[in-house]
Amino acid sequence: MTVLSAKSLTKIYGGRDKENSTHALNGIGINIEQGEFVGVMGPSGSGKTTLLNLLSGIDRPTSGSVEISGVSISSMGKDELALFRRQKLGYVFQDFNLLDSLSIKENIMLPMILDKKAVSEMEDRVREILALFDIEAIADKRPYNISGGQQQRAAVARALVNNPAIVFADEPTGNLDSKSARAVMKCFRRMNEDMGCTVLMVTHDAYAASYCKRIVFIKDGEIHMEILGKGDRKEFYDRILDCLAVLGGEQNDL
Amino acid sequence: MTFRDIAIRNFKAHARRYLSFFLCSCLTVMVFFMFSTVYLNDGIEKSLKSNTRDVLNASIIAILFFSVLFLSYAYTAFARSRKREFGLYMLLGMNSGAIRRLLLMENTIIAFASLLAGLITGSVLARLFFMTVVNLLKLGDIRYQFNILTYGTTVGVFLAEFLIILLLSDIIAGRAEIIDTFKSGRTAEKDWLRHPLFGVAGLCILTYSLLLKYLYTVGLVEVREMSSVFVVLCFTGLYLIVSQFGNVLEALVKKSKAMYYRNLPGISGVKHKIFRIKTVLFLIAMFSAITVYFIGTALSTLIQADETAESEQPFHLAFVEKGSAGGIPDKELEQILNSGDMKPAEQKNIEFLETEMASGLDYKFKIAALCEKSFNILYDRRLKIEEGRYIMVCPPEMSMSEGSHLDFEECILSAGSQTFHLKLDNRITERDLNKVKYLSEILLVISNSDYERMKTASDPSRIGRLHLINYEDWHRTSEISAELETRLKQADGSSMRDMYEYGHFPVLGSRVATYRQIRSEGSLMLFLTLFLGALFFVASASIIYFKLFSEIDEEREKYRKYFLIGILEKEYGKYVTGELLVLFFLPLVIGAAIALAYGCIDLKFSPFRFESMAYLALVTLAYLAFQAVFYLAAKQKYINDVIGV
Repeated sequence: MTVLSAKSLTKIYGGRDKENSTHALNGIGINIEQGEFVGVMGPSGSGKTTLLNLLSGIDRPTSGSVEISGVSISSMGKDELALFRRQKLGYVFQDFNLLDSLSIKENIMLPMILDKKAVSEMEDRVREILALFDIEAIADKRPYNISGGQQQRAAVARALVNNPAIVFADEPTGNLDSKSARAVMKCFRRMNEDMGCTVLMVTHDAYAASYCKRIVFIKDGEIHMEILGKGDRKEFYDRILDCLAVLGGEQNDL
Repeated sequence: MTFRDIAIRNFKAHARRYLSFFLCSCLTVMVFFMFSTVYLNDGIEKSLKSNTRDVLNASIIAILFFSVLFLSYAYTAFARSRKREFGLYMLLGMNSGAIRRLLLMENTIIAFASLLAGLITGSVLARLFFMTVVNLLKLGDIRYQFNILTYGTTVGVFLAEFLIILLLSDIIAGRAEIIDTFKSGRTAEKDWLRHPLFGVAGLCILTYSLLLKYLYTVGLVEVREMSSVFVVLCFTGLYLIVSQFGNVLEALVKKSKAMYYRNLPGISGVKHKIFRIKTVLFLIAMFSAITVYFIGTALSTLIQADETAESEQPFHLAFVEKGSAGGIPDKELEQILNSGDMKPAEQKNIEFLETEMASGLDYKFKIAALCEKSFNILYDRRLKIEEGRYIMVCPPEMSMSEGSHLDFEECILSAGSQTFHLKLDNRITERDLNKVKYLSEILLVISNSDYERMKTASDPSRIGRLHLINYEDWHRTSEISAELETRLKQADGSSMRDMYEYGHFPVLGSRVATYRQIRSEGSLMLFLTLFLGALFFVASASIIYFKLFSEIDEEREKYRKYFLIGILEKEYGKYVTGELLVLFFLPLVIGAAIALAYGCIDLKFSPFRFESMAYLALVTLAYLAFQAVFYLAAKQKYINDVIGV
């Protein structure tokens, strides 16, 4: 079943007709099936984050359409879109995006709180998720009192709390050391494999990308190539490096 | 690049931050200067009555207090916003000594610039302010004077304040750490003094202070320095309540999980915001309590001037003729009393005897004795009294407590060289007489025959005559009152020889003069309190406003996080509305509640308590209305700015 389907997405910053306008995306089309774990890679400025923002409804395309679970989000109003994001989508960002004034447990619960779910339902769900990601011990702590890795695991937990159709992740390991990054990526894999959750992740980190099942490489606002994982992560990692070398610009990241 | 270059560049880069601090300092200097032109004017100094002087003294203390708080707050807010900057300088290798020098240079420039600007604007506005005060006090002939002392005092006071600020900034610079570069903003969250129990304790302390004030007012407890005790207790309680409000609210709402979760974003926002500006909110609450109370009091004083004058001076004119004092020849007196088209409507002449009363103890005091007949004329009564007995007549306010120690079963009155032993027959309360020189507040009534015997025995200079005069319309008696007063002062050779230990009463008890005095004092008080209140209102409103908008980036970041989770604009608006409502109205409502409670207790025995309370309530409502206008304007702008409409 197709969870996400985007057709001919273009995004032009600075107006269509102006000379100094920037074409961030040039007619990208992408389909993501239920249970997929897709990575988007590409050099800096290739349009990765723009693509993620358009697919997840944070930003609107200049032209083209996005459908998630058969619903077109391109035609939704502001409030409708906000509700859709809250109920159907999950997000994980590089800067964790946790609220300092709330405890970890409350942060995780927040999408359900905004959705006015029943107390027992919220508490059961949060308990279950805290256990899944092994972060029960920090449930009552504030974000600024725990490590970056723990914060990102809490953010992953929050992205899952509303049983989203798809989780979007933007450089989730960008701010983390390699050990924390590994722990966070294991969370993503568990969420994808054990819970059947569909994930779309933007990253420039080849190690993080090796946890994906499919990688889409983009360059200059267009899809350049795609590779599929065959189960062996080490082998997949090497192929990703090769593709990056072909793509250029990312060799120094190794 | 020299050190001076850095300071100058720094100044240019953060011009707006410096400007707001500069404006705050400038405003404070200006207001202080304006007040001191009135306060230190020779002419005003001489012509002020003691009550009015007290009002002025209180205002200058309030201004001084206000200026210290306002300046130090403006400075701390300014300095806090720069902690990161210092951290960055240190990261780049600047030592704390260099930072201190930088701060010293900046602050010296700001101090002198704002002092200069404040003095210039103050000099321009002071004349207007001065004229208003002189006009209100009806002191027509006093001129505005250029007084070097005014400038000297203002400069002295503010240099001292700025010096304190410099020391403060030195401490901040001394404590600056590189880590602050990364942490400031997030560290404010941690504070050990965060527990709802502190808030409960604050409520208890506040309630206790009001209870104590009540018990003190009704005379059930004796407390030394009651007003200081009250102020300390009340404001400590207030501080705890205000600073812990968010925690108490959270603890209360947490009792119902469903309610807590439903309002979580709002509650956490309120808690966070209140804690960040708890001191400002406390100051606002304190000042609003003071402002509401004093404006309300001034207003009710002014509007009840008629009734107050009437109750203080039951007869339109009253004076005592005793010995040479008050001895105006009858013809002249008649002429004065009948000047213009005015004629007395009622005139009473009551004779009394100045005696010394003792109770067997060493303590003796002078007291006026009336015969039964005079008393009956005075009060239109038909009192009978036996020989050898006496009746004590107390005014209403004294019947409660003060008179009781004079309640002797037996007393010894001396007249001339003789003494008379009398027994207490009864103790009664009669309405007030005008308070005039030579007439005691408590009167003794004795039988006609006893009175005659005492009168014969005593020195003729001890015989007094109380003149009580009423007109059809007392409002028109100003000229008669003024002339009579001048004449009585001339005739009164005794000057300060006041026979009664308690109170220095005037030679003439005049209702119209009392009325005018109340009016002019009330107007001055109203003017000063309104002026201070408006000043304070503007200052506090701008502090909240600047505080909100200086931290708007933080709020935008918060909104961005909520937005990504999928909050609706109207949901966010609802939460922010709640936060701002608390921020704008909490201090005002608590402050006004304290003012009303205090007023209620303070006015317990006032005959005008209901009217006065109504005025207090009116001022509270007006204050809230002003704040509401300000709140609505600020709220819309704030939400739009955060959401980015």
